[in-house]
Amino acid sequence: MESPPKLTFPELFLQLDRRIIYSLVALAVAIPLIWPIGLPIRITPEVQSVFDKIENLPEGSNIMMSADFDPASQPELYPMMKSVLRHIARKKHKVAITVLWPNGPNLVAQCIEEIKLEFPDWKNTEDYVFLGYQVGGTIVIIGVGNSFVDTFPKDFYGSTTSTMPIIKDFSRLGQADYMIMFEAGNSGDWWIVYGTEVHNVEVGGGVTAVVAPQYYPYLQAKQLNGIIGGLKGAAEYEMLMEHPDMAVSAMDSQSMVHALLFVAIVLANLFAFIVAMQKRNTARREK
Amino acid sequence: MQFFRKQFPILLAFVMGMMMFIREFIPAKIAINLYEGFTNWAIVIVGFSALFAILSLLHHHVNKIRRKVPGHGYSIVTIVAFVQMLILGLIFSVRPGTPVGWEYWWLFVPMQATMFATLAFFIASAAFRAFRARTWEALALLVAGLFVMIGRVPIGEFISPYLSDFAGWIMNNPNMAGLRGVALGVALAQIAISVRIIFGIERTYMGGGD
Repeated sequence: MESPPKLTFPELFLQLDRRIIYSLVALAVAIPLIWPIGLPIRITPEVQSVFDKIENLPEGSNIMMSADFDPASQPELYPMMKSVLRHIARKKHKVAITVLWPNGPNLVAQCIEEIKLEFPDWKNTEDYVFLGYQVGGTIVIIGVGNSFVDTFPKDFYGSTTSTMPIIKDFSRLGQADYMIMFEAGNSGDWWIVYGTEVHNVEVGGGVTAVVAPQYYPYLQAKQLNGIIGGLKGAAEYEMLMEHPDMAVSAMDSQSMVHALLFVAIVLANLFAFIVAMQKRNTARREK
Repeated sequence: MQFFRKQFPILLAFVMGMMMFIREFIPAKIAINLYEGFTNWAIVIVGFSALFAILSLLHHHVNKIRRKVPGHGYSIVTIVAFVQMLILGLIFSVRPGTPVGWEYWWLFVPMQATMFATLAFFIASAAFRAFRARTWEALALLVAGLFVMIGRVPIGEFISPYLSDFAGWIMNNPNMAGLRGVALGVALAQIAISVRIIFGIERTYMGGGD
């Protein structure tokens, strides 16, 4: 009986069992979480712009916030939302928060509770209003451009919005001095097209790494003043706030997984090239 | 009946479409009121469409259970989950601290987090096997992808700050230029399709295809 041909090292590498790859990824995530490396985090201009805008607004400015994501994007967007909300509370700005995704409101409610623990004087209906979720997407954006009260007669907690103190000076999108949106999909496009451009409100975006590339055209056109992109962007914001939190602690893990993938892809291509050359040479010899 | 099935929706789309279009150029109070009124109508209509979506979902799964098609057990789980959440939500609301809030935090969030966390493993394995430079175009994509992947995390900046700068250049120039082209194409297509709907040329939204 003929024994199977002996595989070369490149061929063996290319047939690497997926369980080995999974194990390597698991180790690359877990080890830096247990023993942090403390890699330096450089601040990019895109994140600095968002921070500077909120930092330089006069105290008590109106900020519109939209948290358009659900638990699938929580690891990336929740830390940046928490950091930005912390910044808003620290600067004593007013904020109105909406959600365009049905599974998002509870995440925002949790974030608000965590910020309230840090800033006990930060008051619902005075310093912030959490308008909650409303079905409709673009229609809701057009609606908040006209009136918060008409679009959201009740807030997330069931209180009537029309009687809230915050609504006196901040009753529609056009009265916002700045808008920040957290996006895991296309809703950010809708905010720019139907909201901020129409009402001439400057806007910054906190987006997942996957959708970040699609928001860069808006950045260059100055329709976005900055982008907080992915977990790295969240970590940068935490560094700017001098309050390292979840994102900073996850940066080493993300770095290690990216480095692992970088090496794996480069080696796989190199070995694939070597194998192809070997096959070509063998074919030539057989001719 | 034929009029209400065919001509009336086209007439309605034409009248409403033209009205909203012309309104953009009239800065009078009546035009603003009209706009705000229609926006509120739209929220109500979208609410009803969500109701139809729910009914359609239930109809689909009830049919699967009735016909006992393979995998109908999942349909039972879907309906049970839907009904119990609807009842609990109507009785206790959906805010934190309610039964629905509990299900959200202790069932929905961990399940969705688990599903997306496993993606990291699948993507790593798929990238290792499929991300190959078989053509010059694929090579360009591969090189750009690798630089962005390593340049956008702290380890890239640790190796060399130029890596991060180069990744930023890729995002701000070739990526931006390509996506702007796509965005402009989509916008032009949206204008074209809107005009076709307003003038009754595009009728597929009514169903039937004619």
